[in-house]
Amino acid sequence: MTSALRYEWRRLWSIRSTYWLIGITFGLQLIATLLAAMGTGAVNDVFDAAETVSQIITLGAATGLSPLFTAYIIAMFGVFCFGHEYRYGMIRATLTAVPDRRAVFAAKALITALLAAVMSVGCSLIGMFSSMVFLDTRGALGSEAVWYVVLGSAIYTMLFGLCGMAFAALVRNQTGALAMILLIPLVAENVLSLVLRLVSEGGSDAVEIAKVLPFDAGAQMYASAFADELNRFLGYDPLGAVNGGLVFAGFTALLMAGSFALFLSRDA
Amino acid sequence: MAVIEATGLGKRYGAKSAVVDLSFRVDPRSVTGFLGPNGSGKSTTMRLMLGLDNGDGRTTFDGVPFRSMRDPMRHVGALLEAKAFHPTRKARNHLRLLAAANGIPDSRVDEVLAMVGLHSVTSAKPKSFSLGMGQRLGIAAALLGDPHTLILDEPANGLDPQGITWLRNLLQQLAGEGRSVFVSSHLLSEMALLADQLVIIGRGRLIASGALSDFVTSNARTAVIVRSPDMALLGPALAARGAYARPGDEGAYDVTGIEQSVVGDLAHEVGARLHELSTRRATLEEAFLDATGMSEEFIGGVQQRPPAAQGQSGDYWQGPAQGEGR
Repeated sequence: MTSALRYEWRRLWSIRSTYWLIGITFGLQLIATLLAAMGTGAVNDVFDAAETVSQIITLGAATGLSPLFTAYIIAMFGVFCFGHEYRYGMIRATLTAVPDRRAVFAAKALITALLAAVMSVGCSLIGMFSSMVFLDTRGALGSEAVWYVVLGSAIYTMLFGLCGMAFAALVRNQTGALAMILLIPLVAENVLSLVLRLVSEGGSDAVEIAKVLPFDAGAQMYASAFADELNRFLGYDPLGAVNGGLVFAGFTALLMAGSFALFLSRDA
Repeated sequence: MAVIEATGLGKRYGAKSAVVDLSFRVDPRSVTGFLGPNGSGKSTTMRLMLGLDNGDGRTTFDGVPFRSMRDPMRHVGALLEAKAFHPTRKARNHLRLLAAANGIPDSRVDEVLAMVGLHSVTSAKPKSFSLGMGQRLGIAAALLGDPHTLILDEPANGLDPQGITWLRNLLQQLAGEGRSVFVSSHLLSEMALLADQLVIIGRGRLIASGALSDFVTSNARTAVIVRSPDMALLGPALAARGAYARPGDEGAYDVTGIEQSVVGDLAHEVGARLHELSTRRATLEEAFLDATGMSEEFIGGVQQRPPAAQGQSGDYWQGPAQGEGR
């Protein structure tokens, strides 16, 4: 396992895409959160300091109304860790250097998860900094409500990155995996959710199915107090952070298990 | 010691068999050429040997399967395909990556880059490499762990004539140091100069294995050329010794199944005059084409001249034990 970890670690830091992905993620987060903080104007009664910081660091995703932008960039690390292997014919070189496929898969998963979580926390810290530049949020930075969003978005991003990795291992095609990690949560799941909600207005329980759509369920992990109020106002009762997180984690685990089994059994 | 033993290798793709019950052995201190027509299963066999493809059979390297090895690149170096690297990862970093997984010191990276003649492009990105430079980088990766066994799939592809000479010298030097070198190629002229042992397959099945010199010598096209005005005397004497004589070019006879010196002795015994007595050796290409003729899957539309007719009518002489030497 240590061989596989050493290999994966060097693989990660010996390609340019790692550096430009980190640069783009942090750079865009800095610019976007600075703009968001500047545009917010002031902390008010509806958006108190903790709520304001939560919305700035997630760029509004904590409202439940928009996707967690940074997770989509960070998930590319997961896609690339297998995508590059197949795109550039490296997989056979990898498996002749480390023939233990379980170790190769585990090392990729571990490093993807760790990197995604660390980068997500980094993005949150950038958001906190931006909020302080324009707003009086210093007092809320250590609050439980803010750290709940920070932790939730880190776990979500970690699982999201692992989904990207699993897609790439499943389809063995980098472009296909990138399309899947973008289109499944952003398009397929949203369309399905909309259809299920419309159907449920006719009196069925279809909305219960919409609640367990994995990416949407997982987003409850970083939903802020405002999102809860908004859902109550709309009469929608999502799974909540723990149950939603478990659904997303379960989905990720299934995806990982499937791609792991295929990685072991397929020809390289 | 570095013995490769492949036993009962098999691979199917759906209903099609790519490799069928293939067994062979590769001994140290030799360059063993792995020959077969296109699509005969050479690359599949090499992947099976390294546990990259799932299939039947077992391959061991000094008794140990590849997938059970700790730091495998220290034991077996492999080149499976050209340009198997990330286009923007520098050549040195590519090798450092492989070295890290096998406990190989980074200092070894520059050594092998110099060994393959890439010392001037260690910091270059492989996307700018020619096919030949890519092959050299792949060979450097195979040599990285100073392994006792090398498995190289078409390493001469893309190399210029100087590169091929360099490769030949390198592989012979490595074999001379006691390593086992197993190398596939479709360049028969190269293989004739490079290999001393052969494993030949067709349609995934073993056709021949053993010393290259034996393989060529035993081919029907290796013959003693006899030109004599007294073939009426010499012909029956040759047949009586188990040889087979058939008309060749310009009045000469091609005699198989007998040594040149014995033909000379026989001619002396029966009082036959000899105007020419020489031996024509088959080329590896001729021997290979004859051996794989029945296994060629992708024969083109060009009509080939059939092998020389064989029989006992006319001016043919054949001994009681037919001496084709095959």
